[in-house]
Amino acid sequence: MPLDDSEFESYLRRFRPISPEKLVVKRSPEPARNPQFWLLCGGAAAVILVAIWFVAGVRTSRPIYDIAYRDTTIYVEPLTAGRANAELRGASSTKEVLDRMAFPLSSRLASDQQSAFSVLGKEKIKL
Amino acid sequence: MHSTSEIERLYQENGAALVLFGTSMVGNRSIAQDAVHQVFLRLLQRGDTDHAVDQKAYLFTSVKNQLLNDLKVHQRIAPLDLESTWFEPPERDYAGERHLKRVLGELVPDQREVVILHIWGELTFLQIANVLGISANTVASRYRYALGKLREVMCSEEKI
Repeated sequence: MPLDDSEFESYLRRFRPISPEKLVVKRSPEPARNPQFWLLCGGAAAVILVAIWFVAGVRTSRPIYDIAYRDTTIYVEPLTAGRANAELRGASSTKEVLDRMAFPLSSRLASDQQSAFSVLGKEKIKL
Repeated sequence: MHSTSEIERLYQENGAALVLFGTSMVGNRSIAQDAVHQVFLRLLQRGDTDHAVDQKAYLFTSVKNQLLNDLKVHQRIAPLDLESTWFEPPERDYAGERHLKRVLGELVPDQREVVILHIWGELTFLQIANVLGISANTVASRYRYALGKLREVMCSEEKI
């Protein structure tokens, strides 16, 4: 007895098509770098090294503060009420205290030294 | 947006039928397999099939177009290669596989592709009509003739 349509279709479907080969996607290798790329990298590295050397050189050749400058910096500390009172207590005038704070070296002159301000102040310049 | 795994799933589910369909078109399994791979590689590069309303029909149409382009470029049409294996025979029925292949080869190409798309591609007549660019009635008519011829030859030569 011949098969009807659905039976014959079922018979045909028992034959399964052969599976295809696995789909292989080959990733293209990283492209080789252009020689110019490496030249640019080398140049950039050289520039960075020169910049580092220059900055380091500037820092090491910075002049050392002279003594007067360092002494001056001692007085750049904030003026407190306590220190102001202490300064004013032993001074003859407020002007003297202000001068001593503004020109600290003037108060440290040795006995054989003279302040340029006082010398110039004593000279009578004729105009 | 389809991920790579989603496209791989489409390949696993439809790859065999697509290659069979391609083989029935150009006669050579390796050419058909190349075309199927080209279609899926394009999908992987683009990353989606969302623009396709019917993904399955889209895949079969893509393979058909790929093969038609290849035929235009390379003129690679060849007689059906009946020496290569097309099917995994049930219960090692290798004679049945050879027989089925030979009978399919005797069908008119238009009828053969309709049978392959419906039986092994599991497309509806409407989907086949979209893939082949013909009406659904024509598809049904071709299928009916093809199935009748297949059954006639196979039943007369074998006790099914």
